[in-house]
Amino acid sequence: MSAPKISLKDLVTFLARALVDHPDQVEVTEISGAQTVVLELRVAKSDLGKVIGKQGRTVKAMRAILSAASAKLRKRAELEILE
Amino acid sequence: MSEQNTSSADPEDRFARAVPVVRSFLESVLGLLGVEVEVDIDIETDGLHCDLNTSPQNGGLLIGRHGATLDALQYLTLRVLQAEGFERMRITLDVGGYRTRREKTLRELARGIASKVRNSGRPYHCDPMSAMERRVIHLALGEMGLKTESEGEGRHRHVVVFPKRAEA
Repeated sequence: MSAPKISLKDLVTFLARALVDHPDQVEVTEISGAQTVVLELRVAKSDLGKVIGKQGRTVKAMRAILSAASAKLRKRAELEILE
Repeated sequence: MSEQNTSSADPEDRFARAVPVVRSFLESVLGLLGVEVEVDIDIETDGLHCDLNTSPQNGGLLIGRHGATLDALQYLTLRVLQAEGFERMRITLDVGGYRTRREKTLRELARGIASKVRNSGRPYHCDPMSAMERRVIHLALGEMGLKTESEGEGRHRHVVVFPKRAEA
């Protein structure tokens, strides 16, 4: 428990790949700061709706999972979907 | 929603086929979260119920504030099944009986609202709740003979409870 090996990038990549039609086109870039980690998610244009969801529910759910993971790392994580 | 699938596939069969998909998704996500967990999946009449068995500390992490993490995981599981081509089914996740405790609290809340509405004779607007929590309120108040409706959109959606009209 003292040194959890959690990769936020792997987590976001896994979640996105599970949701889209074109998992091969899922790309995640992790930008680490001292307190904050920014994860940039790119998917195929036709899959944008799949990762955003109705009224943003899917991306909101991914952010909730991400914040549980980042709490373990004692960091703040932000998920951005790039078009 | 009203479209009926003409295939004679038994729903239980469909739910059984979803079990390995759900198990693999949940075990992978929880593994990536660094949480050791045992996933128990039960086939129910309308879908699947999954119990995530883990330590109390990890349980708290998986539930999140007001169940936010658990709700998110449940929603994503549903979306993943949809992405895999499964027809809609009910998916519920629970950690250490959290849902059961929450349902009990909501039923107590419903009883309080019922007496309030009966005494005042006026409609009562509940606080906004998730679809799952609204369902508990609807069912509980329905059993008590009161009429309920959901109003508002998105995160403002809430149950409105109406005093029962005198039967003609």
